Amino acid sequence: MSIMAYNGGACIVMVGKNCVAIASDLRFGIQQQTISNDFPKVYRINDKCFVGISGLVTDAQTLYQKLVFRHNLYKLREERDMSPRVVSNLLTNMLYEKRFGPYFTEPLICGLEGPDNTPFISGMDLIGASVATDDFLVVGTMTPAMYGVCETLYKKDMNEDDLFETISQCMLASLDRDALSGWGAIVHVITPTQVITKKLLGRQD
Amino acid sequence: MINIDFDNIEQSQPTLYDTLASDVKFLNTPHFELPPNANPGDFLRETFDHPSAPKALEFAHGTTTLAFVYGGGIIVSVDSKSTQGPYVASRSVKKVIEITPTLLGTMAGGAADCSFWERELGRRCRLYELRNKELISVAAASKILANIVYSYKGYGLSMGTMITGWDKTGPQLYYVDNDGTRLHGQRFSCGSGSTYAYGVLDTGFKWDMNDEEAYELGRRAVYHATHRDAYSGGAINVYHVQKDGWKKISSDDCFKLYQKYYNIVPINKPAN
Amino acid sequence: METLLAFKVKGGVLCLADSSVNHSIVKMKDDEDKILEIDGHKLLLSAGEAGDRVQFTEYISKNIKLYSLRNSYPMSTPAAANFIRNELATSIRSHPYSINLILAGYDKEVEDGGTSLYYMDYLGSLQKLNFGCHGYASYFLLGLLDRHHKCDLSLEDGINLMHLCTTELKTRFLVSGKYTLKFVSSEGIKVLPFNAPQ
Repeated sequence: MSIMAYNGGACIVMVGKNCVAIASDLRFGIQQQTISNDFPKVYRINDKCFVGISGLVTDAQTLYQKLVFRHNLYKLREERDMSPRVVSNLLTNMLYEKRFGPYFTEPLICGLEGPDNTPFISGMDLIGASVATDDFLVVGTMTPAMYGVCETLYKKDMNEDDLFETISQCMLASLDRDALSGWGAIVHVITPTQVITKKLLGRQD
Repeated sequence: MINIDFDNIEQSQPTLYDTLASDVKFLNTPHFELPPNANPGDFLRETFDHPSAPKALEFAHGTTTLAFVYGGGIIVSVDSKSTQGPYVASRSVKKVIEITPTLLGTMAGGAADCSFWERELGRRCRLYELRNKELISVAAASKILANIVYSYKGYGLSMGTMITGWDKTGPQLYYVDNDGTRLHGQRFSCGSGSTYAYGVLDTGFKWDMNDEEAYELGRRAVYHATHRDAYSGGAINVYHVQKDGWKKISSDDCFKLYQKYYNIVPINKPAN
Repeated sequence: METLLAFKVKGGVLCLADSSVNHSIVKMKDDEDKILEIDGHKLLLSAGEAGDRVQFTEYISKNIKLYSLRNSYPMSTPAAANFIRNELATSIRSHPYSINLILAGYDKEVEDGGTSLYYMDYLGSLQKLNFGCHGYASYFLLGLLDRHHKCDLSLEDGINLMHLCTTELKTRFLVSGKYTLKFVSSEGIKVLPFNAPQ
């Protein structure tokens, strides 16, 4: 079994019109055993930037804590929040720093960038090869199923309600094909004025 | 000059009788082509271990199945998920095999192995009935299966099954697996989720519960197993074996059961 | 083959651990206390490799003690959980400790009645739970606890549930032996007598 699939997990980010959405499942398991069904893999960095970290849970927690530490230092020095693009570059560098003993995690970053709130999403592999797109990104233990539903349901320039609906349906549909992820999901939609957070009721098997 | 022996040409053509005989021959015992090798089990393992070998499609590796005897008969309860690695191939697999109108078998391990051999068991049980003018006992039926799988020991069969039914001696439950183990008992569970199911089953069991309580215990035990075991899930099928044969009681989706057991109404409330 | 089990009841957390130390096929000891009392309101349950277990838990408890001496107030349970997680997560890449842990504690300030229970595996994954179980026993007990456990169980019902669990282990689990039972609540730590079914 792959070390990336040891704990299970799935994460999606999507771009809408003046908004972005990020969703993750809630399972924390050890191989086939489910330990908890209340383990969101999405973390708030600031009101305009969220990261979702899938992969090995211990490394995801370490990486998140180190990221928060760096973000706090940045805030003290600069007196402002990090923009999603900066968070993305920071994560790339933090991951490549461990090139020869990597954190077994694949992060997704999403947020609104700059004064005109341009949507931004990016993702990277476990040693920090980043990719930025303008539609959606998926990581987790069943990416083939996730790509399938996202390619089918995604439309450009959705408003925040449609984006919420689409990312939720994509998440729930792909979780049904994954034995190692699921047990409910959480969705955040980031808009210029607010962050909408909802928990999705999901299958518990 | 070439001599053509016309008589021999006629003879080498198989007659209708020959064709039928060769077909019928294999009906007595199933016949499989074997690799030209001293140990087919090792040969298969080595072949599939090779990095460029095609993946064997093994469905239904994760499973929760259980069966127990109580005052009112036997309850058989199973999940319905089928996985290939982390991929969920199906959530609607029938893991109870209706061998004959009086015999039930459950399926855990390789789906192909279980369904083929329990079908074959059904055929032999029917033949027994025609030859002897009486129903086969559960003990005999399970022994046939155990003997078959034992004769293929080391060939890589994968099955863990419970054979249940009601015969002259009353309700009977046997566990048979691919090692050739055959156990008579009152309570068995099999598959990757079996231990979770045992936890609920053992603590909730009462010999003189009524039928509804027994159905619910079987359902609950498998439900909690599907919750904890990633490779079990889908719907839960419950069967009841009584004197006059088996009856399918229910088929409930795990998600519906989750909502029922925990009073969950499908309304999205904002987190925190 | 070791068993750790803890669950919340009304006002506190009940913690159970097996008390055997085995070396290959030999039983070395059957009255080992695997529930370390870190301070007056914290219990650390540990299971894993013999040397690692004692070394790591002692290191942790002494550092938490040092923290309370330096600051003249005790470390909260969530802080202790994160401290332990960090130690495990950093050591996994140089000197891995093969031990699984459960941390249970009581702090006035913590919400949900002050009790908290943290589950940690040897890699350093941390998760807050209402009940947690380590070892092969988890395969038998998680389903059982999903069925029978509630957070508002009285202490007496909680002890009965512990007995239900050990009875199940006795009937289904290959190995079984003696156990230690402790309870942490606002009144501190209590060692409860526990006679497992023989």
